[in-house]
Amino acid sequence: MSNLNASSTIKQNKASIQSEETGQTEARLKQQPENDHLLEIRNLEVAFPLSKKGMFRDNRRWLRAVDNVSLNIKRGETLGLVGESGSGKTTLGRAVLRLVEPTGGEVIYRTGKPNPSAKNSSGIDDTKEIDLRTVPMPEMRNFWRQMQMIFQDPYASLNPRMTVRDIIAEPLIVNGLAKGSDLNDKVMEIANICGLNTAWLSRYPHAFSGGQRQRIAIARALVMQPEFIVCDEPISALDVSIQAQILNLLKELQQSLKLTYLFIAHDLAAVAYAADRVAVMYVGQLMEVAPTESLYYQPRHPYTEALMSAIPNPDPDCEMAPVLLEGERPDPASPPPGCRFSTRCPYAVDRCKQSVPELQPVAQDHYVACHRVNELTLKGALELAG
Amino acid sequence: MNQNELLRVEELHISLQMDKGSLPVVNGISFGLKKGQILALVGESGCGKSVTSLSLMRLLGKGLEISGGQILFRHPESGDVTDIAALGSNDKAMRKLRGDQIAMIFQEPMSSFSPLHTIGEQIMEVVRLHRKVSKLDARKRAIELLDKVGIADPAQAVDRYPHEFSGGQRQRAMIARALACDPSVLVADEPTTALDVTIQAQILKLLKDLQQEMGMAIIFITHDLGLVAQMADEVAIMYMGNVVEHGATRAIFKQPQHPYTKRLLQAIPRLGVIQDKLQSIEGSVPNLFERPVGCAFNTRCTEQQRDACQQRLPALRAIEPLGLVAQQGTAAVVSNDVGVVNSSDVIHSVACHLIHTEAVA
Ligand SMILES: Nc1ncnc2c1ncn2[C@@H]1O[C@H](COP(=O)(O)OP(=O)(O)OP(=O)(O)O)[C@@H](O)[C@H]1O
Ligand SMILES: Nc1ncnc2c1ncn2[C@@H]1O[C@H](COP(=O)(O)OP(=O)(O)OP(=O)(O)O)[C@@H](O)[C@H]1O
Ligand code: SF4
Ligand code: SF4
Ligand SMILES: [Mg+2]
Ligand SMILES: [Mg+2]
Repeated sequence: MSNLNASSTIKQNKASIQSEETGQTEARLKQQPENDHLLEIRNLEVAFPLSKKGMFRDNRRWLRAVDNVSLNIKRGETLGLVGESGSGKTTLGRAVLRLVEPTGGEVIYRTGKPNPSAKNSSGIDDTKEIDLRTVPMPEMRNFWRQMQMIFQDPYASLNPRMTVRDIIAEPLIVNGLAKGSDLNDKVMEIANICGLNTAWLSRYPHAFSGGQRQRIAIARALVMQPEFIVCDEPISALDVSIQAQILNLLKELQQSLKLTYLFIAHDLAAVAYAADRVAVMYVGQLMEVAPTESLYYQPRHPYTEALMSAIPNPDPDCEMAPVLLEGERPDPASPPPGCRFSTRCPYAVDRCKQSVPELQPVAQDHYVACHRVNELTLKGALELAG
Repeated sequence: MNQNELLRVEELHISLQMDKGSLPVVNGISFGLKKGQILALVGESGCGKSVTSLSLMRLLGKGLEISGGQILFRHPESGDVTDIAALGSNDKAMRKLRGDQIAMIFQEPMSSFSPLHTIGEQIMEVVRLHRKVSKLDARKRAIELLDKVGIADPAQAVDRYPHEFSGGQRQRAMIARALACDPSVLVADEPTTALDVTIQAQILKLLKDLQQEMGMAIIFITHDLGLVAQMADEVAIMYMGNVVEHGATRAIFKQPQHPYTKRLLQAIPRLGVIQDKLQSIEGSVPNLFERPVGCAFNTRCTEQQRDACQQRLPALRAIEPLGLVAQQGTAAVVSNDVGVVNSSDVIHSVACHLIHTEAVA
């Protein structure tokens, strides 16, 4: 953690020093001990300008792909991120790494290893907090060593004109971190860890299967020894038999290298397997965040219930009874007032269409944004299967 | 061909024609389809699911040819049997069947509609190709179809262009077009892969309703075993252009016999089951140019292989009935209004040298 430039805002992390001006939701999120948060996403917003058809500048419409999202990512966990297509999952993942520029909010990154002996006493440890949004762009490179992203398409994300060895080595070379035999050793080591046959390193990506290419992409991300990886649909493009290999590999690597993952996927059964906690997104906002078990088996948000009910169970004796959502999916450029799910929610009442429900705690580690959270009794994944 | 079958594919071979000769893509597969039945074709990418289904419509892409076998279709009214494989893809008889008796939902909803014409025009075109109806009646039919597949405000939607539809709506519109002439066989190639689970659930319900109300037979292509368990009456598991196991859905899921089927079922994450590690299948599907000699699965099969595994392609052969445990609560018999599918009738067959030991001389 030596390369942080002094011009960036670096705060010494003392649990006692906390900004007072933050919003309500955030204050609640902060009630937990903070030391295990690698990342704190606060009121994050990513807005894209829409068509410039209007004559006047203020006619310009914005699409808030991520709209006021607050979310913590704990050190060493896998946080699953699910939600329908276009809900803003990829945009959120990219915004955390500033691969897309957020238009509001903060991304607090806590660097350095927490000092376990300090954890219970004064709360002072060796970690430093930095709002990544205040880091000048040229300096983001220093952070991208620790924060990496793996993409959905293992075909498109690898340069076809580079050998596998060069693909894996490139980040080290670009950052001047290794050369010569040291470079070679590092590449061999990481290839081994990722289950790539080192005899194949001089081949080009086209000679590899989808699963092998995803291993190459993972090796490339890991060679920098990051602590955080955004895995954006890392298994969606892969065959069923290969998905298991990659899910196992990610899990093993997490344990041996103490990695933290933001795991974006639409396969809810795979997320249940991989994630410690899961966040559910709908049209740019979080609907529910909870430990995996609670989210799947005791969901508290109607949208989560609908998602869980629609998972096709690979047991022909468990018949699906999906909650069928009527009504139109909102246009993300002009979301409905009030709760975004109100146009399709089977439990919607008048009040849902008037005010936006805030994400609030309902149990330990369990957050829900629904006006009727205390009135509704919802069903989990297995109950629905009957 | 069985009396109650609408379609029978017999020893179908499809090959890719190249300068240096031809390469088998589909390697002698056989299956039958009864009225009102949902048959799932399952397998990993490249195993030949789409190619098989396109061949039923004689819509194979450039370079691909039917190189052997039969595709027998029994006309539901006249009872006449036509061998689709023997027709030219542009023959009048084929054009009459395609879109009328056999219709298809394609894997990519985007590319299956022309961006230049409204959804309504594209449905009307199919109607008027097969039925002598006025433009106005065809339009009425298009609206009726959009309504049937659950598109809100169909009278308005009929005049919209494909890009004005969401992914789920486009998929419904494609189903509407496929239903235009009340086909007896619907081929659905990954009809929900591009969709969200909540929309997927709606499309699946729609397909099941159509099957039950209209007695439509569906060939359902997917690699999602969860969907298969929920949708299909019968399953054919494919690997590198062969069917390696075929049987009633419950038999395949509860008592899989082929090593590949067993491993595939172990590899999927399951809700409510604590899994420390998934049982993955090592290696990957060989590419077409490196088809193993003998059983195509022999490069990944961890069973105690026999000599024959490296020498001969195992044939798909019936096994003794396994005496499947009855499902709790309900009987193991699937029945519906058209009353055709009885899972205990379905023969369970497997292509593996370990199971058919008597073949090893
Ligand atoms: N560069 C961009 N410019 C304009 N709009 C964008 C841009 N990137 C994303 N969007 C829009 O932002 C919204 C969120 O997109 P995003 O890709 O984050 O969704 P997602 O949840 O990852 O969806 P999927 O599951 O399909 O990958 C969508 O409405 C999308 O059209
Ligand atoms: N038009 C074509 N020309 C050449 N090869 C083709 C063509 N269409 C398919 N193939 C090849 O034939 C094999 C079978 O392809 P097919 O599309 O049927 O697979 P699939 O089982 O549908 O896979 P997926 O799950 O990826 O859709 C593959 O190896 C594919 O590369
Ligand atoms: S706030 Fe209302 S509309 Fe939104 S999820 Fe809760 S009940 Fe449904
Ligand atoms: S035939 Fe041999 S190699 Fe093929 S699945 Fe059976 S045991 Fe395995
Ligand atoms: Mg995405
Ligand atoms: Mg296909």
